[in-house]
Amino acid sequence: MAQPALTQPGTDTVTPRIDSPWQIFWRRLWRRKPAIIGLALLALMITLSMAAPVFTSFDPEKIDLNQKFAPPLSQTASGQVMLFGGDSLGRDVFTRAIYGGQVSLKVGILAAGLGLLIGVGIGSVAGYYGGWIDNILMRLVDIFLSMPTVLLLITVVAIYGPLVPKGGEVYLIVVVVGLLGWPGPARLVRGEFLALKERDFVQAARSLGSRDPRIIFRHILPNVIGPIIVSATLAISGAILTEATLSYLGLGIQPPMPSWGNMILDGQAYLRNAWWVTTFPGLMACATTLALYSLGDGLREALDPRLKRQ
Amino acid sequence: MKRRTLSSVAGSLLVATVLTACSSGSTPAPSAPAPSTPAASETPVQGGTYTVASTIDATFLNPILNQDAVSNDLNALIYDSLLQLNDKQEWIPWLAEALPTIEEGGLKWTFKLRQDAKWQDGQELTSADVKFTFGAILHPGYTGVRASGLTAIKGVTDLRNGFKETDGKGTDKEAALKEKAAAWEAWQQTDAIETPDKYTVIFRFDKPFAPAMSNIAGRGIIPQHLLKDQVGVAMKDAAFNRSPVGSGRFQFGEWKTNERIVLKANPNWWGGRPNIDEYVFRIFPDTNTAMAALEKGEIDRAAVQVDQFDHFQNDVQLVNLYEYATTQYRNIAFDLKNPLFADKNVRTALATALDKENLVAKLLQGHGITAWSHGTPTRWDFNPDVKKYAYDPEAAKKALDAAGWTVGPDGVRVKDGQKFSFDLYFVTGNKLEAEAAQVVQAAWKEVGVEANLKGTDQPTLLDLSDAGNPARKQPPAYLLGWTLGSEPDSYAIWACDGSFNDISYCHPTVDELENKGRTELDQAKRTEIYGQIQAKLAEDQPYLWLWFPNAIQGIHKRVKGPIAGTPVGIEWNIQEWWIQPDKK
Amino acid sequence: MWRYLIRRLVQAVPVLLGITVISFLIINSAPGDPALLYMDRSSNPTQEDIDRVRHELGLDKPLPLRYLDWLGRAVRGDFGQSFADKRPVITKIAEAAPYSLKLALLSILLGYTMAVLLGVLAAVRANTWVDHLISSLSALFVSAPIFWVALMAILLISVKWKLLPTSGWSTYGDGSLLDVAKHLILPTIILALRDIAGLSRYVRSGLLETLNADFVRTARAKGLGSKVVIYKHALRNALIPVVTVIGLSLPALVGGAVVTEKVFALPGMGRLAVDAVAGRDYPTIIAINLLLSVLVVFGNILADLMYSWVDPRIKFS
Repeated sequence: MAQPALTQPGTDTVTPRIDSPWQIFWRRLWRRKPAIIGLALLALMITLSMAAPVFTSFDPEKIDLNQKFAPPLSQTASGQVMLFGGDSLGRDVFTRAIYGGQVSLKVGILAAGLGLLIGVGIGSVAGYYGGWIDNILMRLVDIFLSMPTVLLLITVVAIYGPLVPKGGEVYLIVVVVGLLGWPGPARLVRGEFLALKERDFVQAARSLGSRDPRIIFRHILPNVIGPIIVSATLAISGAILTEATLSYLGLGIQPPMPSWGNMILDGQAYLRNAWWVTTFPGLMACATTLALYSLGDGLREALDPRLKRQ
Repeated sequence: MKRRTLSSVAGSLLVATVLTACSSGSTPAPSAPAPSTPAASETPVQGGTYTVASTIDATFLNPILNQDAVSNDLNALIYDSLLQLNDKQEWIPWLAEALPTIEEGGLKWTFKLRQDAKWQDGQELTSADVKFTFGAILHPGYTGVRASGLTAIKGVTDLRNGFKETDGKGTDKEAALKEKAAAWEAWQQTDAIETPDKYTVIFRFDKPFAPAMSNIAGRGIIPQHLLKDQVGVAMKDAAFNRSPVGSGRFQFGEWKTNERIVLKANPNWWGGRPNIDEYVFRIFPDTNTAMAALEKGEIDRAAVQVDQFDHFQNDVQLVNLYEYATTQYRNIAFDLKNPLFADKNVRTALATALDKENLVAKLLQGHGITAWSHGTPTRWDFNPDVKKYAYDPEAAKKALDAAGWTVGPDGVRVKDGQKFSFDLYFVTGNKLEAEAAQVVQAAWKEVGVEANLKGTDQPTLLDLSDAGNPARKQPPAYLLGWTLGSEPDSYAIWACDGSFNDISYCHPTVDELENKGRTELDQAKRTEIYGQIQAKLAEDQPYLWLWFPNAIQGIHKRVKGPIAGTPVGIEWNIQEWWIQPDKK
Repeated sequence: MWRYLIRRLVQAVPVLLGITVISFLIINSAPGDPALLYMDRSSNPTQEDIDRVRHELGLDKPLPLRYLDWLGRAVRGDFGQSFADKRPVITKIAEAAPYSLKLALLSILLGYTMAVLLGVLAAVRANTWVDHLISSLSALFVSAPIFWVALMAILLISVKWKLLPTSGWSTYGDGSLLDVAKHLILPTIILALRDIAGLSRYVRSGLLETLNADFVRTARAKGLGSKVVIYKHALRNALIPVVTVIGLSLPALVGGAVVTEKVFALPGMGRLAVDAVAGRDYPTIIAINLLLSVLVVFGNILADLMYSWVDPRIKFS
């Protein structure tokens, strides 16, 4: 596993210059162009989505049957330009795509966050304490890693989806994806803990009388941040894909609320006569997951001391 | 298009898929593109495989048990009924060699069977099979939905009341079942359904009953010799339902769940062997896959979505399009027991809040027309002069104000502390309906009414709304529809105790008219009666009627013959079609 | 080795039990009465009918007892009757499983072969345009929604260019090997894409790492040709991490199969699962869940055994 070079007090790594670890990290990341492009793309997507009202004057749920399947760049009666055209109900595809990004990114970030939170917690405890605690927790990890998660996911969402109040599907998906997404990070963090807890600086802290929580949070966790960030980027893109898949199976976010997944599903039937309805949200979803993926890749390399020479 | 069908008065909860909405139809629409009529030189040839696309599997290949339109269409090929509807929705002789002789003021109907009808296993089809079929439907253990359409048969009302009494006594299940079975045996011995000889069946009635024609003469006949030991509860588990033997044009070949059902031409059919060798019913997971297969020529028939019409019309060379009006309509149903919708003025306000004409024009793009009441323009009883609540959002707002619903701080109307906010259910599988639900939601939002869309699958929605389901959670409002049959009787939907009256509509005038319509045998008088029902319903708006859809069928050009979309669908004369062999 | 295998199998038991407990809990926490789902609604059941069915299905017993009942029957291969069509669940699974197994095996075969080939190519041509192309494509296919790629493929390859059938397992009335093969080309590729994209990266980085390792340098120094070095020495070592990933990629394969079978209208387990979920067919859902988990667990054991085969240094302990 990666041995992070960050903030490791007591290690004997000699740094030739007196750059701060962050500077080193940035320099290394900057050299990886795909990661930088990914970062920029991601920033763009987040800005577009979170500040959606700034970028569009349309209401994402406003139906205008006169603009049904209006091609990209066409103008409405009031002179508004439909950048990505109109969908089957004459709603502005661009507007829906950026508002849909809000939903998809929210699902992605919250679900990945929940999964990481649980995973890091369980992984830390298992790795730090070892013994029977580790044994039990790792069996639990085995169980979750062996389950066909897609099947469980569609089962739970199909059963509970119709019962949640309006708009609640977002959180249902977040919770379910999060609850099924923790074993990967848990295993990762446990591995790091197993390696780090025997290291001198941990032993030193312990002999100075630091209590377990302090050692876990102050001394070991900061050293695991790197791999956690990397797996977070992958978890977010995974959760975005999961939402899209659920929507494709008709189980995800319900209309009229837009999400990339339900927009792709919605436009799929009109691929032959109105390609823009499904293509643009599809491209935005792809771009976002691709951006996250490249960023995660770059981060991993930037954080991996073994790749220094390259 | 998953839908309930009232194909006959017994009103099966029928569910037609988008791809096989051919269980009913109408006169060819004027806009129908001219199909390539076969050139004179083309003569029918035997052979070939004809493949139909569906998105839903069949349930019961047994015409007394199925409730879905998919099985209905297949059963129409496997089984024969006493009479058959022709393309003009007139009854023509089928298993019966002539229309029934009606005597004693409508109380005695005599059918003479043709003498050359055989079951597909070689046994002769006789009057005993006919009696057996209707006896099985009226058996106390029968699990299907056809029995309520036969209550006018002599002694049946008494018999069924007797069943209820037995149930009410609270004896244990076994004993009650025995007692009911004994009562049924006794009724079987009466002259209610008589078979004086092998080819004669006489039905006697307690009172004249117009819907008998479709409920009796239009029902598929099942073989006594194969099912006589499975009458009652056991029938629904019979292996027969998945490997049926009928007497119809096609016989059963194989059924692979969720993959395909294969039927083969019946060489011994009394009307002569169909030209097509094999009828393959292929099940697709969604319409997109099916449309791709149709476009590529892998299948021979599929229903084409409105939005695909132009593409298939202009760009796809392999396929002919047939468009025709159907006997269906789409509507939003209101739960009248829900305090939100109990007030008629509120319902009419919701109707005027919706620009229905524009919705139909834009969503259906000419492939259907606006609906204002129950009924179908394709049937003789249709009343075009009903009250039409035209689009007028200002009037809608005023009416809601007057009804006590005032606009609250968040724009949603409030009355006595209750918000005008409810769940509007719709079937997600159908794009047109999902879109319509969103348009309706937006229109109501404009007048301060909040509808939360709840997409669900068809079975769930039917279960939720099914009046016969004790655990149902009645949706406050839902977008669904009906496929009507050739018989205008709509007692099951609109009478106070109608078995499909899921919304609890109850109006004494309509109730009386429904009863009158059933016992009247004169068509002119019935037109009058059902016209009045339609007018009253349009005024009352227990449903918000939306549109009458056209069916659009794409058929591969290699399929030849007198193909025409009609009131009874498009495959009504499939025995005359043929497949042009590949020129190799 | 046998002792190791037996120990792994014994260890798998609690994992599988855990999976059944979790799926049983999820299904049984579902609102609504399973008895009502089982019954024919149109027969207007009375409360008495409902109670009778509840008793027949054992729903009147407490949850732990129901679980034990279910487990007892499940180990004998009896998963009960499907709510949807009342046929035995095991029959339905037996009908669907062969399709999925064939598709999965084909795509594993294709996926892993291509992954190794592309991975080696990328490593050997590291930092050239070939490497960049392979990396970009694999990044694209790892991150693109699989159903989206499948739909595009159908539209272009089948409908537009008419090269392959759009969907289904075989043409009715044909069913020859060639016909089935034509039908399976697209689904196999689509299902294999994720593996190709994901694994080729592992192969590449693993190979790059070993190429820099001391023993490879030694081999080179001894004058062995670079091809021999790559294929004989380095590749073998580079494959070790790949084998461990194979086990972990099985659940994703199952997930991909659900979507792929739906898009291509294949009558396999994925389709059965989606239909079962849509129809609230609980006995079928829970049985599929268990069987797929069993598959994954044994897949993992198999992967570990293979691990030792590619790396003789690893001893079973």
